[in-house]
Amino acid sequence: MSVSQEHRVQTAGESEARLSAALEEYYAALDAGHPPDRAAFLAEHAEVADQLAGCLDSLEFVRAVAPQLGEDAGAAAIRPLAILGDFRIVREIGRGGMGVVYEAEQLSLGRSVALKVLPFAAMLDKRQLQRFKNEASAAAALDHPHIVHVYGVGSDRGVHFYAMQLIEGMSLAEVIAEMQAEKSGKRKAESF
Amino acid sequence: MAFIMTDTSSENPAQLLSQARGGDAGAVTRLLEQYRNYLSLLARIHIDRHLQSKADPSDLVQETFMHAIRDFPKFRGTSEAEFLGWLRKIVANNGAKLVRHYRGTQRRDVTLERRLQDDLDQTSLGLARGLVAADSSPSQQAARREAAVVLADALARLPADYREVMILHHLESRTIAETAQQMGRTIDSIKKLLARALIRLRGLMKGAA
Repeated sequence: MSVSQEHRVQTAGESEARLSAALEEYYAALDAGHPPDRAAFLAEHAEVADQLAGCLDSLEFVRAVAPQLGEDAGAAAIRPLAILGDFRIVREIGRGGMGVVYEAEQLSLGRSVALKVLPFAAMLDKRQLQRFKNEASAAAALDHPHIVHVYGVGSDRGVHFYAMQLIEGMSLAEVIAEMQAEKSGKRKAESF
Repeated sequence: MAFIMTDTSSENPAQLLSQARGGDAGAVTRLLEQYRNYLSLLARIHIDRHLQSKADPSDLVQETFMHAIRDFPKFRGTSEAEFLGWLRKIVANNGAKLVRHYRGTQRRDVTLERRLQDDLDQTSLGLARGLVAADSSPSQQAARREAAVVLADALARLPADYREVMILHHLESRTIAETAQQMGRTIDSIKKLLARALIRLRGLMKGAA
């Protein structure tokens, strides 16, 4: 093994040890009932912030999914996720190729919004996350009366989302079904 | 007829589910295989909790497999979420039977069954599940699996002591001190183990996505 290789191996080991130490600290704080502020904690451990952020995403994922498998399977255990950042989720509106759209209330402004939510970051790769962010900023750059306004982008406990104008009305599928029903009704009426 | 080897891990559960519903008996078995880790985890937590580890979780898993195969024609759902709900019901019923057996009572304890069912029934937890509906491209299968299944599969791939510490602390809600006692280790070593387990889990989940 060359000197530089040896050096690299040692550095990887060191950074893993640092990452582990940071996570031990995080676990101790959680166990004591004082979850650290994520941003501040990442800043404190800037040298391993990237991997640490990924691990915290995984931790949030485990903690969010645990009630589905373990104790306290009641609704209460999962409630915290019904609030995402400044938004309180009201109901599911629909699901698309990438994520789920909810009707939500923006708490600070008291208005109704449509919230597009991506699966847990821990379950995604960088490319998917980037695609989601691109989609949000592309939509936000558009200003047209026939295009939905994007209000903001955010993430909370490993879950990414963006908020858009909520439009009341029917889905395209519903409109088509209604038109078809009308058409076949008309045809039936004509045949009598 | 040619015998075709199938790699169950790469099969699409939604597709298997529809094949199984179409009367393909082999598809039912392959479908269930996809949930072996998930069912093992449910059974393990169930038995730890209600029988203080006196029974063998693999028996409960086996019973659940048998009942699921026998009763599959009665299953009416079409989604993975509905299928999981149905499986949880079977685990709860068989689990209640086990509890009765070990407590030596033959009387049906309706309250107990109800409680076990409530413990397992996640229908009210649609939100966490909803967050995991996802990408439609076939190469991103992992992202559209139910979160609980993804977690169970990832845990199954961890080294035994990493898996154990995650189950005891996160899924059975033991404090770090309680986990240390259960595993016969010091509190410091449990914290270290949790940190290492999380780093490994992170690597596995990144690989899955």
